[in-house]
Amino acid sequence: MTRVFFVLAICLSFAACGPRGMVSLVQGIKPEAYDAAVQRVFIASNRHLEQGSPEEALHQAFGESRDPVVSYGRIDISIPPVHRPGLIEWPGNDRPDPAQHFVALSGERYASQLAFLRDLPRPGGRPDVVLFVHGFNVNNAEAVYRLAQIAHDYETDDPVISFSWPSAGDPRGYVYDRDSVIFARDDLESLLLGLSREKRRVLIIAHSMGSQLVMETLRQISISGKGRALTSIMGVALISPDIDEDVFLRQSRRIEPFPEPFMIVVSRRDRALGLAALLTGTPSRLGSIKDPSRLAQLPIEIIDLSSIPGGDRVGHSTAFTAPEAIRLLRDLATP
Amino acid sequence: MTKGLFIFLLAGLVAACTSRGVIDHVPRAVAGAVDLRRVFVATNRNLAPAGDLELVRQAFGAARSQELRYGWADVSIPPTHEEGEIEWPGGAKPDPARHFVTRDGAPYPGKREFLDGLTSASQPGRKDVVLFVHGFNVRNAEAVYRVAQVAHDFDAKIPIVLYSWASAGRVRGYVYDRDSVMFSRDGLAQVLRDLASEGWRVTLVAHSMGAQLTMEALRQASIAGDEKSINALRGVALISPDIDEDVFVQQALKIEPFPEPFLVLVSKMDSALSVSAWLTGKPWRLGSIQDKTRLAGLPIKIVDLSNFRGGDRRKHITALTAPEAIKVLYRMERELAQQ
Repeated sequence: MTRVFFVLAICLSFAACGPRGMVSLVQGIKPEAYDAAVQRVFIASNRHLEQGSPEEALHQAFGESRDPVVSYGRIDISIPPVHRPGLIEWPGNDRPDPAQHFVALSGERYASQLAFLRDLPRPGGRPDVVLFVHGFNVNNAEAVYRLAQIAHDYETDDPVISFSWPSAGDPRGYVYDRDSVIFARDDLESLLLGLSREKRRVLIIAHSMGSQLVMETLRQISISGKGRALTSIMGVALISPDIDEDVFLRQSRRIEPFPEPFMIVVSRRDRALGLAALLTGTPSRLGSIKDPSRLAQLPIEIIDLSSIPGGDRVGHSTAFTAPEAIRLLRDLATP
Repeated sequence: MTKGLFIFLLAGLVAACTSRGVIDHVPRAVAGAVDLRRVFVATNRNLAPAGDLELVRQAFGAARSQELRYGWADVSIPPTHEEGEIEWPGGAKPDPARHFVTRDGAPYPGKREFLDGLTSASQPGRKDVVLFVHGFNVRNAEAVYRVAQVAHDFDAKIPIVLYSWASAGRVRGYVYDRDSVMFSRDGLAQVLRDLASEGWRVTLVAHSMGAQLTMEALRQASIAGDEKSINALRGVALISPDIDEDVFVQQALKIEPFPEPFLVLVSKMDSALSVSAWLTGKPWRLGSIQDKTRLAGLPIKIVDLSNFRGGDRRKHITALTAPEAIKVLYRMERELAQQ
């Protein structure tokens, strides 16, 4: 029945084959002295944390990054005055310099989910929070810095939470990451239910494979009769979602009430998704959908970034790497 | 953040690069002791036009249907049959004296007729059924013939239902099939619910990636509060399950009450699973697990088939293809049935 299968996955990174993102901690400086901005990022993670490491650096060995226990923390990221929208100025191999680079100023762990939830500020008394779910092949540092960049470039005052799920952070890890999505659903559900209990209003932003995780979590909340918690969601945006279209339609059917507004940010020029589609023998993934009429039954807004220049080279992160897209989406978000 | 990713899936068929299984319709009876086995099918594959015995169209990337459909096929097993084998005609003219062939088959108009079909195939008053979920890279015909072979070799006295989910039936379809597993959960949960609501006791047997589908369906039945479906299970057997062990534990913790007996058939020699394990950077999948302490004290009985000889070359279907393993499992099944 099952014939032999040999699958040889050869992974090439197009852009930036340089070192992976790492948290660089630079303590005891005054960011004002460098004219740097400070962005606080809250973190909920079921990655396997390197205990006692001051830099919250994560043990990222391929194949061993999952933890059954969720950790909660926060970290303050300093964004340099030379920052350009859409970019993360990593130190790379240079000495981390707050005048030039994104650096971490301080970090803290919370003893419990409740302590974490209670520490989320309410600027101007507003209950809004932004929950960001990263995609495939992202390590913890990258998930955190990216959210700092997004929060900064989108000029939000609301607290931002990175749900840092155990992606292998390795381009070989496509199937590993798919397994991790399944592994992480219950923990994301627990966070969403917690936010709902605290009467927060949650804007969910998911990128790439993170969209799969979000859809699975919304689906299971609904199936298990906790659909009321979904009313705390004030909007969902799936950016370049790496989900099979058939699967997305089936997941959506089980989500009741379906959150609105529900935005899908797509690009037909998305080469990363073109590849995922090729892998599955289908013409497109949801994030590069060619026939949007398939989604006509659902209250979904599709935002097409195909014609926007700039941003990352493969066109998979245009929504937060292309300055023009950032302007467009920011204007959409502020009525 | 997301770097460009290029994944080339170079898929090579090492064993049996011959033609794939198709249903050969030979409607006449033949001399000799053929065994006729009826296979019941519930499927979310794309159906071919009514009357076609193949029942499904198999274009890669278009194998899924939003609808669940039902059918049956009578498969004849030749007198020359050897335990564990499926005697496909291959390139030869299908001959019931030497090959597995399909005598007859048809789609059912609907669920009602399907459930009634199970009743009429059972001994009066008996409400036991086996629900079989096939694995990765399996076409409908291959799944149907495998069930017929298992029914014959295990001398099944109760009807077997095949849940024929939308596998692409392609070696390069690993990720497609993983998506299909997600797509097919609601359908499997539906079949189980329908059987449970009519009082059937279900033995759930799943192979390879079908075990992933099975765990997902049981998990969602449980979190949906559908205890009736879970309680209808007389037992679960996962054969060479292609599931990450972390994921399995996470899924299992959500299934309440956890069905018992719950068998996991494993083999260290399973080279198909070593490929999936390698893809995920881990030493093993659940179906080739070597450190059983990682199963979090779940009430699971692990049956190690590493030492059984024979069967398929990859040691991925030992439980159903190695005569010795079939004998052991046959005895086990009968013992369980006595309890």
